[in-house]
Amino acid sequence: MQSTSEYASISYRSRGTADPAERVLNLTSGALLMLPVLGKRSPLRWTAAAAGGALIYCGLRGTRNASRLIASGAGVTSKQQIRQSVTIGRPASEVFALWRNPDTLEKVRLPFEQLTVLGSDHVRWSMKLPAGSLEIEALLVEERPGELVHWRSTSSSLLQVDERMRFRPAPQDLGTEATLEYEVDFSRMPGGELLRSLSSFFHRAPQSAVKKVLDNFKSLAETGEVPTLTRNPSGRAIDGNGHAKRNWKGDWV
Amino acid sequence: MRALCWNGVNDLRVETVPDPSIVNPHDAILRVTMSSTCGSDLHLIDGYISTMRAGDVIGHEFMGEVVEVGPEVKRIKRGQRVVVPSPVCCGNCWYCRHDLWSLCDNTNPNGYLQEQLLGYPTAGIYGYTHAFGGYAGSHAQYMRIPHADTDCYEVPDGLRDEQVIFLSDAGPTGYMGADYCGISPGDTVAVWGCGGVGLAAQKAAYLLGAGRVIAIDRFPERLHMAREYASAETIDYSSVDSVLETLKEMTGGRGPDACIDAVGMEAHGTGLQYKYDRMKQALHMETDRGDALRQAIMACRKGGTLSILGVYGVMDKFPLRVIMNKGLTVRTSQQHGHKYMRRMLDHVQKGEFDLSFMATHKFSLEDSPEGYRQFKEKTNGCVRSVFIPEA
Repeated sequence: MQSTSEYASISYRSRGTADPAERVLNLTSGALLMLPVLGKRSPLRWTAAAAGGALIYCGLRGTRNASRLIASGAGVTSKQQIRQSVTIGRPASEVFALWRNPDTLEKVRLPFEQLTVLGSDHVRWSMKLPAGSLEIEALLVEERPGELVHWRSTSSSLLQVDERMRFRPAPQDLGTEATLEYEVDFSRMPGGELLRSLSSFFHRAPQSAVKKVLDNFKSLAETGEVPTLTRNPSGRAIDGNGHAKRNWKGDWV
Repeated sequence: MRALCWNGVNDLRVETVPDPSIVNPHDAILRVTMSSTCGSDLHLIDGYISTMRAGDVIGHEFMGEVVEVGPEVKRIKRGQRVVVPSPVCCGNCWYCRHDLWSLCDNTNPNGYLQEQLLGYPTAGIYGYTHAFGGYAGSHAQYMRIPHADTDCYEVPDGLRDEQVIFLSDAGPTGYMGADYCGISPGDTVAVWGCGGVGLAAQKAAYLLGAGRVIAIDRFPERLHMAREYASAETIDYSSVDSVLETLKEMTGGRGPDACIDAVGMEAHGTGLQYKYDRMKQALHMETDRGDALRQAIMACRKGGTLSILGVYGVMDKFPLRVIMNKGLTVRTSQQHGHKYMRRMLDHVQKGEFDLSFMATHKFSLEDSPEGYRQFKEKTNGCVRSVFIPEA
């Protein structure tokens, strides 16, 4: 069911030099790795310092060696494809209608996402980051009833995203095969090349995030609800004084 | 409410946690009237099963009274006394409709994480790690039950809690294990383990037509229970030179037609093989001590059936050669309790599947850590400690 594609044929080839954001990150992380050895010396701290030195060198020279190493060679294109599939035990027409229902987007999204429906063919997606937030506006570019729903980010978005949900009949009486596919282009973002490399390095994380959305959608289609741990009781909901934490919402899934 | 929380390896404490509430439209809230320990809890308490988090409420064998229902709950009513199987099941997906309930597609909120471990995710299970959904468990005053219409089974009048609670987990696990054996009338079935699941499997094997049931354990009081309540013949493995030779002798050299492993990853054994497993487990080089399972594989007759009910993680020295060359059929899964519930309730009403004898030790919820200690150490013949939250 799970598949990943890193298409070598994509013509986007990143530059050999790092952008300013990547250089700053290389320099700061390099410095942080060098600091411990100034306190107490040990083989581990010397090793960290050596790695830090290499990062500072990369930062000063402006090479992309660090992010290429992280991505194990996969980050040579600025586009990443993420694709997951699931089989839903309902007819394609019904599944298609549910996917196009504006309420569905809100129900199947991940906890860190915010979705604002601006119209039947216009949404704003945002995610809080440690500093600021990432926002993408997207427009519906194509829909074929029972087959395809295709959204694309507007040209003003820094992160360029193409989202295609494809439906096709499953064999026997199994219902509908749904494939959710993203093509993400990092090239216009500051530090985008490094982000692209990190996304490849943590390969499973973006795949799992897309699978979670699909799983939620399947459950909604088959049972009318999404499984959740909202307000799930646990000892984690209690502070040190034995009182319920005011902002306890349950477990994050 | 009060609940038993896991806070780390062998660190159980009763704490005050928030009450559960209706979150989804098919939810119900259950007031737990009785909740039981299970051998598989010991694996996570002992730290052999991963994805636990400090503060998790454990427990997955229980029954209670419905006190609140969500807007889409049609069949189950407030005030009903119900028993609930351990896996959370939607009743709508392909797996539920094909009686493969514990493989439900729609109830594990962490399925996308479990997929990394198993390839495809299974159903959620109450109080049984975050890979299995992370749902709060039953050692608590109240529980949230998703898909209440599918998962709650009304208890017929006249049955006591002790007669019904084990239909939540040990009963269906044992019943399914015997069902997996494909028993022909008169077959001989050997069962490794005389804990709750083993005893249930022994009784179920007779109900399904076995001519002879042989139970293997080392604790005298458990072997006594197997003889007394399940009419099994018994082998104390610690007092014979070889379980294999003993079984051969008892079966005219043929071996049992089917072997059920109701022991799992923390099997005790004898000899060098056991010490080797124990050492590797202590060093975290494998999670499983597989003595019982290896014995069952070896002892099973040619072309026989191996039914694995014990919980396992990662085992080495697994004798696939024996399975292949003897042409064994292997059946296993987490329990599909919903498939067997009505049949089991019918047996209980007829007095054919009364497992109340297994509730050897009763505790209040406040004393549940002590209940687990006695269960783990098998103090005073403890087969299962059960907790009564409001006692």
